Amino acid sequence: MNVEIDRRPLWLLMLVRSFRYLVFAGLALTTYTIANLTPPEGLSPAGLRAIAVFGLSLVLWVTHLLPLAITSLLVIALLPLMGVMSSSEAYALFGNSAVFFILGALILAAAMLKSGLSGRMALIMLTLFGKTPRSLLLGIFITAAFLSFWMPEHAVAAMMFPMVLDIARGLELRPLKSNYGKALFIALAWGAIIGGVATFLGGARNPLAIAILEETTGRSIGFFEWMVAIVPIVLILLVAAYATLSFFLKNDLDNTDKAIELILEKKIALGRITYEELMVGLIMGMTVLFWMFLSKPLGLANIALLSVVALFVFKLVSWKDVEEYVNWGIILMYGGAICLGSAITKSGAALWAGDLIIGSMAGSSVAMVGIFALLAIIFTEGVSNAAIVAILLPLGLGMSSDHGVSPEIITYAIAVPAGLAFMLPMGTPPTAIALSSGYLRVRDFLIQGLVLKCIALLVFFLMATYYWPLIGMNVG
Amino acid sequence: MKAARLKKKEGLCPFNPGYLKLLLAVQGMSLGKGVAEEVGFTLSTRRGVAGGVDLILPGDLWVNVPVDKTTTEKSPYCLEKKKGGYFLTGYGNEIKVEPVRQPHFYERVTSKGTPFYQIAALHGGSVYISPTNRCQFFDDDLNCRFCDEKKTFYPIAREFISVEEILEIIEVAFNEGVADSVDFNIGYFDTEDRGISFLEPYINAVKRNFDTIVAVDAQPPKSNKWIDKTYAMGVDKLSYHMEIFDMEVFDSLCPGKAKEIGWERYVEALKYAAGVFPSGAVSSNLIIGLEAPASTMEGIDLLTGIGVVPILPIFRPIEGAALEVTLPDMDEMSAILAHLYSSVKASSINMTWSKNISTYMTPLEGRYFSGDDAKLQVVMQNIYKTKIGGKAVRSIAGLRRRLKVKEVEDSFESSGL
Repeated sequence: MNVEIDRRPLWLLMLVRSFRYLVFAGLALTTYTIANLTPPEGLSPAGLRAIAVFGLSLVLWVTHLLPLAITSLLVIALLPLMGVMSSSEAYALFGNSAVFFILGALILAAAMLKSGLSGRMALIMLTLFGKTPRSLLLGIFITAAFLSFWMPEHAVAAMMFPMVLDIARGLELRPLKSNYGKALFIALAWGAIIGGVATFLGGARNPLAIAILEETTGRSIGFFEWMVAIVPIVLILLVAAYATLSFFLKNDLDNTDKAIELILEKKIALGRITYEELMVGLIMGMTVLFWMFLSKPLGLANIALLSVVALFVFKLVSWKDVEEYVNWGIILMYGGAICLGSAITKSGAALWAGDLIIGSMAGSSVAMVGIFALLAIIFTEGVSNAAIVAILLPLGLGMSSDHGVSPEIITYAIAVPAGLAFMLPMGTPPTAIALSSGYLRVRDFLIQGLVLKCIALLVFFLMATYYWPLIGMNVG
Repeated sequence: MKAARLKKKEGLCPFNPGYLKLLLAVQGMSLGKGVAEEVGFTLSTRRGVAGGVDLILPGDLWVNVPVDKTTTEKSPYCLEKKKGGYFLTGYGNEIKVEPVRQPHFYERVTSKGTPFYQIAALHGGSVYISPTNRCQFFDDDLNCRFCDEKKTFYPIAREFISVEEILEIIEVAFNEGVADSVDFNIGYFDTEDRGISFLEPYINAVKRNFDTIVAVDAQPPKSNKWIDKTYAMGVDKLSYHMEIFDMEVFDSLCPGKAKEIGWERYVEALKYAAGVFPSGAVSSNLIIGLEAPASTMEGIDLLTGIGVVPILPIFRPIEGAALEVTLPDMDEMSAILAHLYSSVKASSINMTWSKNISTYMTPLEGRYFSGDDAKLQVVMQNIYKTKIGGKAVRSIAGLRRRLKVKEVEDSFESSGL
């Protein structure tokens, strides 16, 4: 650990340090003041207090003044204290089935990582693709995307990162100079991001969105139903992203011989498939099949938890592994977000606030879907994508019935664009992981990311307009 | 000029304790019958430049007065015990003084059997500790010519003293009420950090176990990052002692410092440290008597110009040391000390960090020679000496460190983000 001495004057340092506490004091005062105002017409006192808590959590989630999970805990405590809902109601929402689905999915991902199955899948796919520079790039892209169908995108990026780094070094690509080097890491990040929206497993924001939908409207979206609606969009986006990458970063590599050697070496070192990998693969496969076809009668969370039990029955994972791999903060964060979503929707605050903020702009159902999708895809670059869902979805759901939009459509319109943070490292971990390679700078993501973002939004609208009606989903 | 008036003063100068401190430090005093035993003074436990008896003069001025026969042969001063206390007599006058009784501290031994006096010494409220009890300059005969290893350091069997023993010593000193701060002295280390990493476990342990100010006397490290680390690890006061401003004299009297570190590096490191530590917490010794008075005054200006507090020990020959010099006369010394006060004041450097050090003249003590009362600084120093004031100083120092020190992860630095 190195140290640095801050040379700024002490008074300035005091001000900077105390600024945090002043902000907290200001937030507390503002929340208290808003909660105690006379509610405007059309808003109940409980709704006003829910808005006060919502505003507070919005600031804390966006600014990261507190960790996301701790903000959620604050929400859970504040809602009963401020009389928005009873304690038993608030804490019961924390036990929402989505929270346990996310827990199960994270433990399954931990088993895939621990057993080495995910690493083997990545190597097999790279071996299949890595004949030429273009196909190797495509291989990384598709591998990251495909794995993110079944595991959290950040876990995929973290798992594949050392492999891609070895390939870049093996090919003797010059950091910050080589176009191919940049392309490899962007492919890793974008592949994981795009793949992450395809199912409930790629990012926990998707089940979070479903949970908020369920809690506020009583309606739901099944695992298979989600895939049918979103996977075609994902496939088009993968093609568009690869084309964007190839257009902006012209290939400057002749052959991939060294990379192929390296991949083969790693494959040989991995040896034959082990019992653990086989069993984890089997359980994972069964679980996905059950999620796809039996989620409605059996319940997503129930299937996930039974699969977790199966992992322990066959001794494929230990509790220590689970503690190491599972991000418990995410689970806490989602519990609070679900609770808040329910509170602001059921109190009528979401409808009132949504109408006030974007009601006049959202003249038609199509415009409303468009506005929410646009807001989600813009803000996800600076704010955690789960926070975007937690902030926007309750508002959208609150307004959906008045604008004639089905709650499911608004859920897709927010959850999917919220996952597409192609430009900046703040929104999603895969971009930050790719940047840490030292092969590219933030600006290498910016232009290409913006172009891809525009394409993604266009694809989303076109698919929503022309494809979704074919599967019985009407936006307007 | 008040300094000019001082020239006419003779004898005990009861109205100018600063002048009296100077006289006693130079001329020494004899001890009346039975006084040595009464104050518990034994030469065997006191070595080097602090080998005399500590007296507290009016104005709460501490002075270490030589009592060895060589120094005090011609001294008119004598410390006597009379009815009502201890009196310093001379020139037919007498004033009441307070001898600092040799604390029981010096009679103690650590749990490993090392006598405390071999490792630590008490001066003006600080316990001075040398965990290595040596200076590597002596290995190559590059030691400062006014220093003598055998007279300065007690030979100890082990390479260095354990952290636990140091904590024992500090605890006893604090419990006896004879010290409330700690000063580590590590001589010369032939490493890039000049021994700061070696001191780190000691400093950490002291900071963890005691609410106290920690000072370090060391040599300037090769790179400034070690100065940052020194502050970050909890050191409140830092000294890199130049000893001499005149470069030629520096080269000849401090051959080790000149060869291994260099005069320029002292200046550079002190300047950097003054930017890291609080105002007045970085100091450097300039020994009066080793160079011309004008040179010492130039050195004072150089140091205050870069934010460093000059501390002026008065050269006292250590028996057996290679060097013997003639001290400037009292007028010249008074002028130097008056200049010390005005230069530090003009540079707006905090003078209150320097406590009652019996062996040095501090800038605030220089006020006695400049004609300025320095009322505000004296009030502040008196406040700092109280329990609450001391607590406030330590708390502010701790808060400052918390605000200023930023830990930087190696991985973050290397990521280039």
